[in-house]
Amino acid sequence: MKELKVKNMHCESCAKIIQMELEESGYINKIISVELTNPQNNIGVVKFKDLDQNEIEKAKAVIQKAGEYVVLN
Amino acid sequence: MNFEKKDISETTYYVQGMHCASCEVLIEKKMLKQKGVKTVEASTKKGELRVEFAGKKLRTNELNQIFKGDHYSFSTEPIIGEESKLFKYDSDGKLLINQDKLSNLLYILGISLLLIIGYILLSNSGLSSLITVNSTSSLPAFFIFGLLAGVSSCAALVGGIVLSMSKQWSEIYGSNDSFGNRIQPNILFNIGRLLSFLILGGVLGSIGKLFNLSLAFTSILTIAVSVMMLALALQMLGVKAFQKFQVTTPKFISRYVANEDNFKGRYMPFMMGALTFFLPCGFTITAQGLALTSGNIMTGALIMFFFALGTLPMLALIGISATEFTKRPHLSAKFLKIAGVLVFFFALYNINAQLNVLGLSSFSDLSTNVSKKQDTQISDNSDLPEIVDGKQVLKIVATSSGYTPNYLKVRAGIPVRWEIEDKGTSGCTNAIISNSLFEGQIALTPGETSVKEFTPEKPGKYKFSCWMGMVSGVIEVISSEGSSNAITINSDSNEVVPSGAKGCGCGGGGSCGGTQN
Repeated sequence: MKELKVKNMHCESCAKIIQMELEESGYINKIISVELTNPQNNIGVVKFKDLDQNEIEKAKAVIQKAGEYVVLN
Repeated sequence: MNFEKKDISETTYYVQGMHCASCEVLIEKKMLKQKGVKTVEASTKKGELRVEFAGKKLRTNELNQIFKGDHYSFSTEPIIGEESKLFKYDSDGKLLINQDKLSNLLYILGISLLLIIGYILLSNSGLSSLITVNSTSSLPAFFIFGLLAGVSSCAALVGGIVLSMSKQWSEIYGSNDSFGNRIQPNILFNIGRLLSFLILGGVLGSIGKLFNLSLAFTSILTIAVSVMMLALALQMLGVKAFQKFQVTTPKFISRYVANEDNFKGRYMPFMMGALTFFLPCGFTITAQGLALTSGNIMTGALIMFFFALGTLPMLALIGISATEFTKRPHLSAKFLKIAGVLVFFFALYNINAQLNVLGLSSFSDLSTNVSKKQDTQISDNSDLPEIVDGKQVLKIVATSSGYTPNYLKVRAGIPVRWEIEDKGTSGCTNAIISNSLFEGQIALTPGETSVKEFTPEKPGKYKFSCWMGMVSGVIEVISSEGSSNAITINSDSNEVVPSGAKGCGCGGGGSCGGTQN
């Protein structure tokens, strides 16, 4: 399992936007969950099933393009 | 596919449930995927969605189906629903009353009023006078003492904090999370509270009289916390100016306390629970005083631990109620509003009590019909006390709910002998203070009469109260010139217990929650 920590997610709508963008980019069968885990600090986590390095980098780009989100790891 | 201009139509929908820019983005993205949608513009501020359709328009029930699960609802008419204003003017200038919102408001006010009245009745019921404790009381006695505290002043202060934090804590876990996860902030709050009472109770027992917080300090601290509670209450009541108010520890503290990634914001409830040791209600100060006078680290620790354990059921009930109500979306909005009213009341209640302790004007003055210390004219002397053996004799009865009478008059410059019959005080009412008239406090013992002698020098109105300021009264000192109606009697009465207002070195409270050893 791979987790990406994302900053600037401030509500559930952000989680839904990120999920939508990832699903449209081909990750529909690889996403486990997208959750806002730390609302106070606007941080969420995207959990994937196993991804290779290319897929991870592509996912990061999709997330960052979806809005003013920053992948922290 | 090209469309002629005549095939393009614009429709405006009214949307409920949008609260931020992300909502706008989410709606726009989803709409752009729908067949026939050319352009989309969502506005949270206006609550509107403008859509250009190339072809067939979407009906509102189709939109509601598309966005089912996203908690948005669509209409072609301005929505007068839960989130709209109570009063609104339609396009003809006619006043419209939002019936849904009005009935919700009445429901919220009604429930809040019932709970507040219930709390006041319980506090004044005299239940708290059923049990008194001293430093040799058994640990179960302190547990019961804590149970009583949990349904009176502790509920107002600590319970108020739990309620006011419920909204923030519910955001840590989504409403779909398990009960075990959602209750974690409350569990951590109570664990923090129990541990701090145990450890700091031991500290009190070991250092005894060296540990002395002034009454003024605890009063000011309680006022500061109550002001914070007011801000949180206004947030819960939906006042826009307070929507961004958050209670957090400063970054430089949180960084050292815990790695935030690991705790995910959970450390804060634990710390808040631990810090409630420094926000004592009257019962807590009594227990702290007894822990101090125990002079033993283990005894002090166990006294405070069992007391805190006694407050746990009520605090846990408040916490669980808050957790369960916030889980149910259709109830959480109402619960937050009711909680907001209760927190607002508790905050004002606490502030009023501390203003009494500090001797300042407060809402209590409305019932005793006084103002701040001021010069008075010579008034009607018919209600001045008798002078016995050269002293003005005042007599009152003190109970857990107040003093009878609570408005007294004396002459300036003539010694006063104040006899206070205790007919059932407990908690903070086991002592009387009046910083403007005399130093220290008058310790009271149920079933006995305490005496305080002092000489008021300056005319004015002086407040006296229990040391938590929950109940109060006034002594009006008038100029002795022209008081020719004084009656002087000699008496040899020796039947009263002298007051022992030495102060025990505890946090402003008395060492005597009950009978002396």
